[in-house]
Amino acid sequence: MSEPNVLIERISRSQRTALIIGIVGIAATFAGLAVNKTQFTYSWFYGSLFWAGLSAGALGLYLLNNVVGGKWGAIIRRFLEASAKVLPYTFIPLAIAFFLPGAMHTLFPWVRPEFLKDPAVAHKIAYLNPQGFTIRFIIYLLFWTFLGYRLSSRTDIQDKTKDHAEGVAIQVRMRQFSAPMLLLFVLTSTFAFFDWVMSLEPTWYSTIYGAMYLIGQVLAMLALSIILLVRYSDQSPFKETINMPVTHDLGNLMLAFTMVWAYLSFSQFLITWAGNLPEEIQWYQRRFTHGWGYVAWTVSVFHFCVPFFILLHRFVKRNPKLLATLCVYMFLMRFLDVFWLSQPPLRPELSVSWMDLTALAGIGGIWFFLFFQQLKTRPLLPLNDARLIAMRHEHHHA
Amino acid sequence: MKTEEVVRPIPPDIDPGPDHVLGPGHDIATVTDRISGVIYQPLAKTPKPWFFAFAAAFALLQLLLIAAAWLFYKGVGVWGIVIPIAWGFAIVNFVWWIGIGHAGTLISAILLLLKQDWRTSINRFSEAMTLFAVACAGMFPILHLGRPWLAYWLLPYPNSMWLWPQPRSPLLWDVFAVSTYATVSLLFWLTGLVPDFATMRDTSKHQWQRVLFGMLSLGWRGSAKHWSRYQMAYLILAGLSTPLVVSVHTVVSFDFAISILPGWHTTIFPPYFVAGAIYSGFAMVITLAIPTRKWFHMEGLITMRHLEAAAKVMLGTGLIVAYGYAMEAFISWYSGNPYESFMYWNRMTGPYWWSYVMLISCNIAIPQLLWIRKVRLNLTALFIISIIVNVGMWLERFVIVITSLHRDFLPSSWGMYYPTIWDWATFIGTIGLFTTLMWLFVRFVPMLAMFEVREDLHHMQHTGAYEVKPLPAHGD
Repeated sequence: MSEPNVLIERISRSQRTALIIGIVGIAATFAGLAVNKTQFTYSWFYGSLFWAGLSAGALGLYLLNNVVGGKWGAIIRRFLEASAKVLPYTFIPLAIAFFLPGAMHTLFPWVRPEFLKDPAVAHKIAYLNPQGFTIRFIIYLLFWTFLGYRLSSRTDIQDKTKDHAEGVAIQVRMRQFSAPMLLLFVLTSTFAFFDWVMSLEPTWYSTIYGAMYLIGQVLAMLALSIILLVRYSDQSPFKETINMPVTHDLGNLMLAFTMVWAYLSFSQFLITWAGNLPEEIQWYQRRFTHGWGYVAWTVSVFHFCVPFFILLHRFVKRNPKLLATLCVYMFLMRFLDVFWLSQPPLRPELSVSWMDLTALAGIGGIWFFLFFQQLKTRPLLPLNDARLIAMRHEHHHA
Repeated sequence: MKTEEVVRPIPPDIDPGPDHVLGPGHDIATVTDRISGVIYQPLAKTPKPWFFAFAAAFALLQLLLIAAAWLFYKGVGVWGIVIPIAWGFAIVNFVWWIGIGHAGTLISAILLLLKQDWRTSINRFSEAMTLFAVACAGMFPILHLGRPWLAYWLLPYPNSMWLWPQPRSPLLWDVFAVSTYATVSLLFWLTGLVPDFATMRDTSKHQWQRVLFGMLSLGWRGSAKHWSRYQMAYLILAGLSTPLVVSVHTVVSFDFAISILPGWHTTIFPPYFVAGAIYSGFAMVITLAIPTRKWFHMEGLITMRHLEAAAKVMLGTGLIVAYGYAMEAFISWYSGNPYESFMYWNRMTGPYWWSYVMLISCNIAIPQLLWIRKVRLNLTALFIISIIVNVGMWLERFVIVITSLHRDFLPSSWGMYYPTIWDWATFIGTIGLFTTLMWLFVRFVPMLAMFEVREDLHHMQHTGAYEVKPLPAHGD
């Protein structure tokens, strides 16, 4: 078993690069704190929101696969696990974004006294207040940490077992555990995104928001998983396991999530636009004027139309290199979407600061450093997953 | 194939439990015999419960005819609709029936693309359900028009009056969504039936049946070319149907959400309507499959595997619906909009509080029993829960339509809705139409896809998942 070491070596190299990018990025962003504290808060918030959301998406996708099954989940499972285990760490940059002195005041209008004159904001102070926000922040942290560690400890047991039947039994127990947990996860993440992003505009509300935001994060995690899978596919243990049908399945899944993302986003848009009520349409007005309209059109065309038509083609899904390239592109699109969702209320005029880029890269670098660390600690494919054993069998026959 | 086993005793109708899609003792010939035997049996030999069920359904169908005749004669005033509740039962029933149809499309199209083993066999049955449910649904907007003979005005056609439907209205989108849905569902169902009609043509003992099935099978010869074309056509139809599962009920949800009425105008409506549609559809599949498989001894073909999977889908979609309710309730408070919060408070505590309480019990509370495997595997419990969900999903549309309308923005325009006997007669009458068509279908058309079950059997034999064992001599 010398080949896996090639991969571990490669991961270690990536990890070192990630660490350097992380340290440089974070140092640069903190240097920005001295220059412009407001801009620092906006940018830091954007960067930490993206990477925390990515880890939350991994947890959601992981729970979903445990419930509904499917071979695709088995081969990207370690990526999802590693990402979910980084989730608790992403609360550190988030905490800096929210709890740095004055930061909450900069980000959230509902802590500013002048906004409390608006009866619609004053009304929801029972929910939107710094104490409640903090308590919920801790609840999300504890619950999601529990989920990530509990699930990966199950697969550790599965890795160590010698008995095939025991491996299957663990899989069944994970399904039983994941079904109710998926429900609680969707609820907690909905409220987390209400707290962290929707409440940036405290007079605005949308019932679909939680689902829409979460699906975007799941899409990002799926794209990242496909990128890593294809990158590592020339080495053991992926080389012996993955086959054409499973990359095709992942491509189809990419198409499905792109469509669901567009469906939820467009539903919100059409209903809000048709209703044209002042308290609702403000959200789109902010995002379609002062330069933000360019971002809006870019997101709708390049985050949905283009990948949709590309992913309809079979040959793209059957060519791992092409599929991975598309996923890189989708991942970049996710940066833009999260920017468009979270930044317009903070900066009415479209602007991009160098701190946006350093914060995104810096927190991302540390995120990847921790992610690769998690990835290295265990076999890159679960050892006793019945689905993988069946796939290896198919591979031999093909 | 072993030719000496052509004549085999009728396989026993044993349910193999939740792990298998096919009961023991079957081979390719017995699958065909079991399914086509329902159609070939003399009418008098039809199981008695079928006659009772058909008689009841047919009687209710007469009620529909009477109610519709009276409505056409007197006008929509015979219903309980008033201003501000102009939509009443007609739209409640329309949405309910359209929703029920969705399970058939989901099973046939999406589960085909997802390669789910439990899809085969119940797909034909649920597709028929889709067709009949859409037929019931389609009637209601037309009955509600008041001048049903002018229903064609809904279509944009060139006319001397220069009269065009409003293209910005979701009601017009609905016309297209529902008619497309009906067309594609019919094509999907008929295409799937062609190879089975050919089997019927080739195995029938009566000349008139051979002629009839011969015409229906469109010259099917079962050549490799036919099969290859068939597979391609079926996949294309599945691909076309897949977006329909989502789009049809999305457009139905727009009928409400595009307005600015509190209780209707909310962004979660599209996904939550789609989930609710699938929820009610699977409930109806279970409600109909349990008696049908008993009457016609199909326990070996519609097994607990099918029913348990359907129960799980029901649980999952039910939870999505619950998420929708939770979001509506939370946001109605969070919005700080007095109309929104009044609407939800009024739903829970106003004059129609009972419908909200029943809705939550039927749609959210009771179906949680399905978490328990024992309940999912208990036919009686499953049957009762499926009926409760059907009732709950009807109540959901009642709550949405009636409670949102009955409190207008101005208290001077408040009102109450009391359904009349004709509202009930029309609604119950469509249940009669639906069940009449369904019972005729299970008796006179191959209710399960014979060739697909045979194909599955063949595959399972090759992978060792199913073993054809010779049965013990009959009558032991």
